[in-house]
Amino acid sequence: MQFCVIGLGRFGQALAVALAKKGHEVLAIDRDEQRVQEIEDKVSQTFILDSTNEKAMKSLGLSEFDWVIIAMSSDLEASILTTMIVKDAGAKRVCAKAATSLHAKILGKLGIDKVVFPEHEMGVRLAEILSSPSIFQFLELAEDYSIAEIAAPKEFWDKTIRETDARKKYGINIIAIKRKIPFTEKDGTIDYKEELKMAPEPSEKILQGDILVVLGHTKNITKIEKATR
Amino acid sequence: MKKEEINHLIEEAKFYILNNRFEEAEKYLKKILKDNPENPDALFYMGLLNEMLNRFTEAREYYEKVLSVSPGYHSAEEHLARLQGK
Repeated sequence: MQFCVIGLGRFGQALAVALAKKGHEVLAIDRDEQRVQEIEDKVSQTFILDSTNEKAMKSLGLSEFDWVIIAMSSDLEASILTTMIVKDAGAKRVCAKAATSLHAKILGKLGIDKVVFPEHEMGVRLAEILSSPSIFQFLELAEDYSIAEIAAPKEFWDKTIRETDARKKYGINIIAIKRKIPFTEKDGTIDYKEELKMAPEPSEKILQGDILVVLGHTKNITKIEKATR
Repeated sequence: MKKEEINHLIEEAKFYILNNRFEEAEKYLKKILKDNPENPDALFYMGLLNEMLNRFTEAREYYEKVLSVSPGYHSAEEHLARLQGK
């Protein structure tokens, strides 16, 4: 796919480099020469360009890209102007980063396809992780659905996935198990390594210390997390 | 408690840890710690089984205790470093 990333702050740089690593064609733009140089050799093409310069922006052929991402957000005016120019230039799909909820609202009104609000999203995610000591990772898929890593509740120990009745009882699906595999070191002490079992069979037994990767309604994940304490 | 008896209990605990039976292992270690609260090996394996049960705060406390009674206990140092950020 072809992406155009406008604004190469920490967020924009990370995004552009990650997309390029996935094998996509990435055009990265910033008005600051130093920022452009920092990722020059990590993406397909770079331009030093002021994104509020309508003429220059329209010469880029933005309608060719699958996504145009406006990754700067601290300068509200520049973000809004750039969004309008990009839309006007015929970009197929536009995604923009918002710094505040008002900013997000304005971007939404401009008719862009996706608004991201990373500070807000990360804050919510961190709150979820910190307030639940046995949730280790948390990823919101849709508004109410999430994937989370939770310590296997004691009532699941020594039961097969089928026997736990997790789907019926808690409304969650176990999509992977992170298991500790103990072994003896040369000097006789014990250590362990972690093994990931993807898509475990219903006959797979859950062991003490397993971490379950579960998919389900966020409410249900919270419920099962409480059972692990 | 005699040294032999302690060693025997440690070996029992290790056997259960190797079989992912941490709660059973804990019983043997607690027997040792009741009479010998500063036994570094029993403390270390208490740390390990808590770590393997994803109870990182407790694990950290046990490893720190190991190092306070037996400075330079290599495995405890290693596991404590690994728990950074967990």
